[in-house]
Amino acid sequence: MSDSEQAPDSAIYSKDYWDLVFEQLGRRKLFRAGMGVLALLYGLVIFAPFLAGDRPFSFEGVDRAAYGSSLNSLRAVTNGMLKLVSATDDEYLAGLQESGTLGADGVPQTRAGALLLETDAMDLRLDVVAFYLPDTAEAEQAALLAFRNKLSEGKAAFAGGDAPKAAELLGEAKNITRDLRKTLRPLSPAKPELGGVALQSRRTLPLWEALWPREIFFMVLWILLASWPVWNRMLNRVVLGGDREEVRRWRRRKAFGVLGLSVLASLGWYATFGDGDDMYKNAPHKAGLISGAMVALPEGQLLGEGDGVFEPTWPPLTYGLAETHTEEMFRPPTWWWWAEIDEAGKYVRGPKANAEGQGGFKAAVTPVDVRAGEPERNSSMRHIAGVDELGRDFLTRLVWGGRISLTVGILSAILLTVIGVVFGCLAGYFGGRIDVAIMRLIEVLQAIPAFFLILMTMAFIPADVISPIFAIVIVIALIRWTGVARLVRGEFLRLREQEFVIAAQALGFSNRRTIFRHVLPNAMGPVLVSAAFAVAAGILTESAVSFLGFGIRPPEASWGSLVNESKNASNWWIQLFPGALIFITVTCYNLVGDAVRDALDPKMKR
Amino acid sequence: MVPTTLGIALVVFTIFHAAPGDPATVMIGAGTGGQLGQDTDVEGMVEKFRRDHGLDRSLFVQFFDYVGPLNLDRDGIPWFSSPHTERATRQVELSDGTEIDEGKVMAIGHLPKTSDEDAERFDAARVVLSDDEAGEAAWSAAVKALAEGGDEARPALLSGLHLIAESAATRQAGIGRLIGALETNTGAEFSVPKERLEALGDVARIRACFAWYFANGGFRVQNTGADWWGGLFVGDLRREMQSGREVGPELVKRLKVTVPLALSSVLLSYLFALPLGIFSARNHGKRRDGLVTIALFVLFAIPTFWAGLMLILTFGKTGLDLLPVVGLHDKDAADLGYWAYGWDTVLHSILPVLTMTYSSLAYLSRQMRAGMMDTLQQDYIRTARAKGLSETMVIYKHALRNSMIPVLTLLASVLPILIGGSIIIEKVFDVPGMGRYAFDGLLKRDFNIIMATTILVGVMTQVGILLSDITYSIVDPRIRNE
Repeated sequence: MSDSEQAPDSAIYSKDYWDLVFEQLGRRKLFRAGMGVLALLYGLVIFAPFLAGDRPFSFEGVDRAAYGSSLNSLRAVTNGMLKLVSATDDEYLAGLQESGTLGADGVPQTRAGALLLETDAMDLRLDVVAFYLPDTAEAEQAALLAFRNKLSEGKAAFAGGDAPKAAELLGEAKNITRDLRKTLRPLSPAKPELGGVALQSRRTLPLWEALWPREIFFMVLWILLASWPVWNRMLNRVVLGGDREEVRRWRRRKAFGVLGLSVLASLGWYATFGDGDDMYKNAPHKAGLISGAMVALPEGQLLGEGDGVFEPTWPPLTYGLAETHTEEMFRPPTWWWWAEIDEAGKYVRGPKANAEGQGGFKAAVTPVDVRAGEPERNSSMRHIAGVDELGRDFLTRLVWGGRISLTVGILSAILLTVIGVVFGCLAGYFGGRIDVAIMRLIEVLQAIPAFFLILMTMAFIPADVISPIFAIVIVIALIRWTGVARLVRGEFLRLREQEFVIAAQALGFSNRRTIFRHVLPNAMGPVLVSAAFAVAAGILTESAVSFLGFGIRPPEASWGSLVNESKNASNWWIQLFPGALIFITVTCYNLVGDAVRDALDPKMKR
Repeated sequence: MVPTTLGIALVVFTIFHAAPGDPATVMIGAGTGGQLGQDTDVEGMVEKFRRDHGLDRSLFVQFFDYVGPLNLDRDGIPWFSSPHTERATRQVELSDGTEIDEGKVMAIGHLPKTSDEDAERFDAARVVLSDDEAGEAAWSAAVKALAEGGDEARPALLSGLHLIAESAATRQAGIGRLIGALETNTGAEFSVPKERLEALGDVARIRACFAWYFANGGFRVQNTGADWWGGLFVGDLRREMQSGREVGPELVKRLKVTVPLALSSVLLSYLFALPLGIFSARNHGKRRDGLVTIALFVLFAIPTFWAGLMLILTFGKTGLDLLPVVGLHDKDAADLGYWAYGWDTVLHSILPVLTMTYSSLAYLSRQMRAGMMDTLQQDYIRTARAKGLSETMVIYKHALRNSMIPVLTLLASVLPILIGGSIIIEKVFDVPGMGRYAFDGLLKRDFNIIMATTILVGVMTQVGILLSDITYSIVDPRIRNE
């Protein structure tokens, strides 16, 4: 309140420790450059689904294949329900025993449970059929509704214990399915003379529905953190009126607010869209559009009538994670001088021009299959970073692999800092035998080169028991915490003699309070610096471990394991790009760490 | 040094056994490359592997056998014998519900109390019994000799049965004689239920003999000729589990490749880092220093494997084709003369050493720069300059020694990093050194190789720490004169 009439961001107000630190950081160009590049990289990998994937943002059209298969399988599912209702409990259990699934996980052990599963399957199919029925087709909709009602009557009867009646009703429902197949038969645009129901084009949001709530968390978090300078300044000026005291008090609220908003956003997403899709499964759109199983029409248009065309909006890199173009195996970046492929599928010039077949796998050469949404065969934008061994676009894999690399870096750094701080606190504050014991442990752990130990531990953890991503984060943290612990211990030994600690103890503060509220905040400076460098070291270690084959295994990729995909030096793009990305990331973290260290050093004011 | 080495061994041992999955299965899977045929008896292979390498013993016994000066090889020492005898028998349920014991057929060594001549005698008798052509007289003499031998003769007979079972060439008469001799010796009768005979044939009879032996106080003594001493403390690094080669000599062979490379890398990095650091400190604040700092900074961030690969791309066949990139010698290097061979080795080592050097170079020169800058701010330097000494004298005669102290102590951390990082470099450049050996051991999950290399690296690290402490005390008179 006292200095509110002064200019809010000038240097006249009294600065506390963090004010000074942030100011020093802000002055350093290299810090801003490093943070900027890092923010960009993190943004690219966090928003990876929007950048690279085979799911369009929105799709308006008809999924004829889904409609057809759903309609045709109605009878089978109804039959399944009928059999369940007609059998007795003993017969059901006997059936389970025969198929060997008695007591197995995920297999319902009661008829009621199995009926629930069948109901879910039925609902799925009925929803698809109802989705594409035209709004104007009232008769057909009524028929579908009648079928649904019959089913619910049957289920109600079964739930009420009247199994014979339920069986009777479901039998009638089964007969209805035959009629449904006739009445709801879709119109085929190729043979309109055969008649049928003209399906109506609907809009779906494949990309949005494929996102996971946790991805939303990180996206919102990134947006808030990246725009921090903007909204922070506005908040300080408008809401807090430039009062420095208020600003300082609000720091914690801002931090929790950012986190809270992200959590809320992800919970809200979960409530709206539910879980996401497995990105390693190809979406049906690209293949469907070519084969005719999916037709893209403007929303509301009926199949076979009207001639509107809908162009789906694809992400910039229109390749799925599991989508292969085997005919383009090990194709260099399409802007490279020998990347051109002629119509037959042969390289026009360069080292592969006279090769027999492609990669020695096939005798014949197949032309390049340009699928929906992809650039032209020889467009330089087609494969900006080349193609890997299975024909997957390399840039897509780089973007998605970056998720794992960057995640491992940050998570392992956080974990090792926490472990190191805890042990360092214990050793430094309590001294005596605890100190000696912890120092012995640190000595033993530091006697083996960290990389060696990490490699060895990763070698003994089988990939199918523990996911390599978790394993490598935990292993790196469990082995590299010793550096941070030593640092914290040193700081504690220094701070323990200070007067404020003696005063705190004289006042009767508990140990925990003294440590966490008084000593630790003062010791955090070097810890932050080492945390920044720990992330860099973590990324380097993970990439080296994955390069040697003991880290991330296929189909997941991290930058290190991507480098390992081809030992052949003529596939230079496989080795160059992932390593370059690692190099850039590590440089930025080193810059940030250096800048933080300089900013925290009281002697190096600028 | 010793407790820490023990600690290292303990850490490796714990990791090896605490990891999920059975070690033997993992090693078999890794060793054969996962190519087990459909009809191979995987469980049998795993069991045999476990017994052969003592993985079925208790963890304490395994650890102390590896470490301790005492050889706890299988059951070498009586008072540490692990309860194999119980585990060596198995209960088999017959069709009528009764159970019989079947013993595991294995090699039985002579008892420790058996003298060498007795052992020879028994073995000879056993050979006679196995021989189809020796004749009745020889056979009955052999039986008598064995009967007189008492319990000392039994191992010989059982070894004979084991050999027959192993060789799968069932010499029926031989089995009959051996079992008869055993019955005479022990006074027991070995009867086998008919259904087991039908199922297994003669092996059932052999198993019954072994079951009796184990149940009646016989313990397995593997007569490997192993003496009392063995294990890490005596320098015995055991054998590789898959190939059977001795780890020790192989390790020495590999070290002869890695250590020269590492030493030359350390030498080179110090050689270039010191002048670079001095240059940086002298030109502190000018653009030259800025450029050097940026260059070193950038170098520091390059991953080792990537640097190696990029160097191969640039200088190898697909690039400029100036330097050889694979291995340490050309294929026909053995034909070259002495000097040409040396030159060939040097050419091959350039890229690996370069890759090893650059990151420690960056680190060391930064440290040198920081140390030198700190020193140059001291008062005595100002005095020296005020005295009119030239800048060169000031730096090289006065400042250098004091600023080198922290850099020399870094020797402790540089050497282990080199050894540890050599795994990557040796894999990328295909150099047959210690790093490559450790990597192959990791691929095969071979416990002995991994243990040996880790302990070696740990020892070298501690030696490095010791060296740097010694150097520290030599160079810094404040400590020396304490």
